[in-house]
Amino acid sequence: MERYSRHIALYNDFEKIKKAKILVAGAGGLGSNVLQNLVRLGIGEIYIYDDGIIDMPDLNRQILYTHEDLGKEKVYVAREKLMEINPDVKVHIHNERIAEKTELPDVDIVIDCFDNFESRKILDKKIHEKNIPLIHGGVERFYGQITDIIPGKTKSLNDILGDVKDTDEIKLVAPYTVSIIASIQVSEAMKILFEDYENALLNKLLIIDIYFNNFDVIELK
Amino acid sequence: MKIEVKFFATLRLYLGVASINLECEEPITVRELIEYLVNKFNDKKIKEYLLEDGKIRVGTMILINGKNIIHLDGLDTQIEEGIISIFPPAGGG
Repeated sequence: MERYSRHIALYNDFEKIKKAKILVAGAGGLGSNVLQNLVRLGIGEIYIYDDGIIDMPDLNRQILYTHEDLGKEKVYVAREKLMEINPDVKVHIHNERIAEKTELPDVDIVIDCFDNFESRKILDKKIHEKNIPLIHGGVERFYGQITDIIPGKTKSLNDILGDVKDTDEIKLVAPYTVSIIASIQVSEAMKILFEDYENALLNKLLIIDIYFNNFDVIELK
Repeated sequence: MKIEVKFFATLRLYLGVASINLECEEPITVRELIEYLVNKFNDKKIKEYLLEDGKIRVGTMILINGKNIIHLDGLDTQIEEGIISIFPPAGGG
């Protein structure tokens, strides 16, 4: 337990973290930052879904990957890097996109690290079918948003964002914005795991704009 | 009736202000609010930023007191008072 000695005392029941199963949807910018935090925390089992290959533009923010990994499938590289960080964590990989037909495994929490709204719509539907809490995050440029979805307790992601569609425009993103949004997603995942609903972003949308050093919480009604 | 309009992210950057306050004697619609913004900033591009073919532009969220106007009456939603948040949700990851 020496590995966790700098944070174990921050949680009243560390066994919950050790037994937790968390699914990370997307192993890109948000995903690789979220994953690294989860394995360092000591989450018991992690499930990764991504069918992508590591390309050069990914390297500005996808912190699990390096130049050597170009052209490789993300999930395999991610697992290898994560196991190097903490071999005690079980990492299950799925080299596939979450689609309508995907049967999600039984997990405690899903973290939305996708890079497009279409995939998020499918994920929102899936977590409602299986009654699994979702931590939504999205990031662009110098800003991003985070909210927690608990089926039956909060609005759905679709209710909040509306029928938002993807455009063909390449999304610009500063590397450090991604780390901030991802860190807060992990923080929210811990709140949901420990059922700290009072402080969690339930029916609240946190908008962070680091260009203006702005943190706004919008109460969703 | 006091209304605060808050601008986030790219719109805040473009307009150079975080929010504006206005007082109305009668409720106004979202469509009228957009016209008000165009006149106030003397900038027709605001309309292009928020609207597309007469509808809310894809990728723009307008919340009235925390409620997305797509679940209300869209651009015809009446604003009485409170906070209007205009935000382009970030889609990247």
